[in-house]
Amino acid sequence: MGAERTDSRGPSVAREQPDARSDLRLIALVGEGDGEAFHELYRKYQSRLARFLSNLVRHPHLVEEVLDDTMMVVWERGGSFKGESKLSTWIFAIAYRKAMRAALRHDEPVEDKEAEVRASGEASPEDEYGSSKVHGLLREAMAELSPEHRAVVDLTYFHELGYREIAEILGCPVDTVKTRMFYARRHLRRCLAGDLSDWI
Amino acid sequence: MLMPWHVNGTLDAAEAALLEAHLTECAECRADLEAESALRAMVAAMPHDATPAEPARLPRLRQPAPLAAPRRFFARRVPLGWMLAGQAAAAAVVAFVLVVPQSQPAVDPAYRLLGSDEQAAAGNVIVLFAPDSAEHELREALGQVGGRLTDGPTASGAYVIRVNAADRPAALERLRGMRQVVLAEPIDADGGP
Repeated sequence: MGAERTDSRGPSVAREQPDARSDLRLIALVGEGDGEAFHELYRKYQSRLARFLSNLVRHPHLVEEVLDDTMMVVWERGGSFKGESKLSTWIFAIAYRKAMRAALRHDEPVEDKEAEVRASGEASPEDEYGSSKVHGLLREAMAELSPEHRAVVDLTYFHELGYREIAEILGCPVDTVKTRMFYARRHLRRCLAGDLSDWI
Repeated sequence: MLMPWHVNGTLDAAEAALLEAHLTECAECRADLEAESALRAMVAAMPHDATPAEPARLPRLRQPAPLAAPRRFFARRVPLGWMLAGQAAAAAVVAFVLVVPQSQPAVDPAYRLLGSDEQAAAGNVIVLFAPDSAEHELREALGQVGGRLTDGPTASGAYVIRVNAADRPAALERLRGMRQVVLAEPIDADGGP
């Protein structure tokens, strides 16, 4: 959905968050058992959730399973959504809890065992992203982070969420979000070292 | 600590103002801001391994069970096409109920259709409130348009109300502008659009 975005954004740039009114309308209909509204909601969130989940569970089949489980909860409990948070926050929080449980159930390693293979230069599906050294380093560096740290990085940089909303999704204090981000950025920047300047 | 959220534009005005004020006088942080923007752009551009196939994959859903029963949408795999066809049929039934019943006699005393007999016949607007609406908000909405509750909640959670026929267009407009109202539609011919 937004993986191709590479623009450098500042505070004044409008963000592409799903339209909140449209979300409320859809979830109200889903709460009444409207399957078509559910499908619209599913299509709207599918890509963003897949991206988010792929940072929490490593196997694509598990991403798909957790995504379906998440949306099943949305279908079954849509009527109980009270609008106390944004719908996207509610859905991402469900996805996060589901993913962490799935990772435990499947005993997924925190570190990415495939990182070494990818770093060796072997052709991979990510080649379109670029085969430059800096991309490989970033991928490796991200893989070395814990799922919780990756989640904060991805929710901030890709999904463009504020730290308060991220804290709601992850169910942790805002200071934990800030601290995780601090250590994650330090790790990423250390790994990229001078290569980051190529992007500036 | 707040630099990543300054770059993604989610800081509130006070936080952003403080940070920007600091940036004007700190060269080190200005350089840090550039590095932060670069890092954000790189991470945002990273592809993920679980990109869904196009067209977007949809789960196969089964028809929702009655509201009181637990609904396991994915438990039984039914092709999407069948499900959508079922929904189209259901929509046709709803349309029939909304359009035709005024001229229909009540078929069975155990059932009451919108627009049929007594209370329902008195209603001329159907209103669906947001799921989180409190009871006092419903009363407030009715009070503002001089409406009287005549029926509901219907199976879909909507309410039938009666407003003065001459004032109905204005009442509808007012209802539609209310935060707690998801839908407000006329349901009979008097004073219609």
